[in-house]
Amino acid sequence: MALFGRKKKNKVLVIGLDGVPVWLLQHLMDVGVMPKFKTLCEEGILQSMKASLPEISAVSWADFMTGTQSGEHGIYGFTDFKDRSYEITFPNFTDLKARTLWDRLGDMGKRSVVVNQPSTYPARPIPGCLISGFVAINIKKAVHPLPLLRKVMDFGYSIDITTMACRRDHDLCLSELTETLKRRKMVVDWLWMDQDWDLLEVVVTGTDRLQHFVWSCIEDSKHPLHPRAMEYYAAIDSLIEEWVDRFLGDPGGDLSRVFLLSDHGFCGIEQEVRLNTWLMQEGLLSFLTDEPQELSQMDPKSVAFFLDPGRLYLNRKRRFEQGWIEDEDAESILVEIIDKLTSLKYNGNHVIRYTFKDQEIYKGPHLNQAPDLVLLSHKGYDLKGTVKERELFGRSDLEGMHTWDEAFFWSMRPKENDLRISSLSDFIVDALA
Amino acid sequence: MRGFTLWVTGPSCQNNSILSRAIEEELLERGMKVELLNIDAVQSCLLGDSDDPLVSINEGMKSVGFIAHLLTRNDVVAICSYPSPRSSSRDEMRKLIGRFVEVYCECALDNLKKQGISMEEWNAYEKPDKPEVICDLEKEGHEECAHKILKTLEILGFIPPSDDDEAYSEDEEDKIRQRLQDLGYI
Repeated sequence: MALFGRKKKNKVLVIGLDGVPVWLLQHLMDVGVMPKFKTLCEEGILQSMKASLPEISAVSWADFMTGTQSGEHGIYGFTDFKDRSYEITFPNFTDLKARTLWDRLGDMGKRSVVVNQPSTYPARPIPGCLISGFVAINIKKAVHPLPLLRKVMDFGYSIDITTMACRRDHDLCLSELTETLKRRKMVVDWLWMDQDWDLLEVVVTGTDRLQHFVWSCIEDSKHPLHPRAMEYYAAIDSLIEEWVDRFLGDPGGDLSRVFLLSDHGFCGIEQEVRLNTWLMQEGLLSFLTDEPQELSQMDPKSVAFFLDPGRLYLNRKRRFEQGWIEDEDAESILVEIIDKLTSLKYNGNHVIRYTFKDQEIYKGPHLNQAPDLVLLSHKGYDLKGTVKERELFGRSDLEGMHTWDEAFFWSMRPKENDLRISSLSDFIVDALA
Repeated sequence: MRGFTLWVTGPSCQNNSILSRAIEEELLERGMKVELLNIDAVQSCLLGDSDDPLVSINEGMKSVGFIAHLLTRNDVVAICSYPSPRSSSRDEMRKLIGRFVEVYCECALDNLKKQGISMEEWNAYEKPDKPEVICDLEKEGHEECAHKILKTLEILGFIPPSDDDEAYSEDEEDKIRQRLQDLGYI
């Protein structure tokens, strides 16, 4: 329907590759797996970029889509505390307190097509259409406007791979990743032609899944699944090539209005670090049961506790119903905890790279929801907030973890050196102004 | 709450009627003022008297559309269940009424034949170009179709969101927790 009579107008294409670090992209270009990306880098600029704090998709994509940080948009993680309670809640798209770049473009009369954007579930109206990404679990609540649902389902679209099965069976993981990518492309191709749009954005999230489950098959060229993993990245490169070339052939398509990014970096896990176990060992956290399953079973006399991945909360009186720490005492307690955490070592190596107090990294009307401290680890130390483990260090079958300052951004023009993901939405809006 | 017209169209009067009644019931339960204008209810007094059934249907449709327009501007929800075969006539209704939501109720040819609808009638029907909702009772079932229509009405701001429309149900929350655990995020 939009095939004929299209007027020339500026358009923007945004492609997200979830969790792909800048150095991995460079490596994949160097070994010939991503030739299209290499061509793009010969014409434009590939930069490293800082993700959100903490460096997880829920927050980083929220920073991206709103151009703000958690103090403004109110999302601090995949989990948060219910009001004044130790019980956990799962923030969703309706909890996002800041306007998205698609809303801003809507003010300018622009329409966006957004496919597989994490942290947009359940789908809500945007000026254009939206297919939510992770953690969307029900496609019927992941599509706006609803009349698109039928066609999306007809394509056999799936939001994600079957996570636990793929975590256990890496062959299956690669098969599902390939199939999911293929179906996602079909839906994007259809929306590309069917919708009248000014911005088209699609996020490939399979990269993050592969890197979590089978990081070794990327790093180790002798790994039996290495060739299939490289094929997957090559398929993504072909897809970028097809979309970018088609975009340039569209009226209003121009390379200066193409943007590619990831939301965080990645590396292999050496050890998982169970921070609540550390607090227990330090006598700062205790539970009312011998085998705690969740934080709500905590002894209210506890001093502090962590939510994933490294968000520390003091048991403040003003924040929690049963909290007891007065604000005037909080600073000295926090300093003591920071001092101990920065001394934490594994096999002689420091675990914690940076500690950030809330006001150092967040500002805005939702600062009162912020953790008191956010930790960043050295590479290889995957910070966890589980309460079920008794050993401070250990390994699960997960192989990859997120990193903070190794996300990437590609565009035609260099941006500031200390580039953060929250800066990107302004570039995109400006490109359509 | 302001009124609007929900125009349910499709080649099968039977399916249109079933779907309209399901929506009527749901909106009445939500405390809204609703009038169902279906072909059975209005044929005795509103259909034209032409010998040509298609002309008669289209004349009747104009009457139904006018009543829907009056109801809508008086803040009543008018649900019109009509085969309304001509696309241009439906577009006229959309222009007249303004607050107008078109639901296209698909029906496979085999099912139409079972309902006694001829190829001639099938061929005379013009599908809507851009309905707000497309439903297929056979494939999706009444409940699913009704849910889809109600969600669209909510999203378009014609009706307020349902009270029990939490972002996550308990079951969904369990699934989300599991998925986050699978990826090592919690």
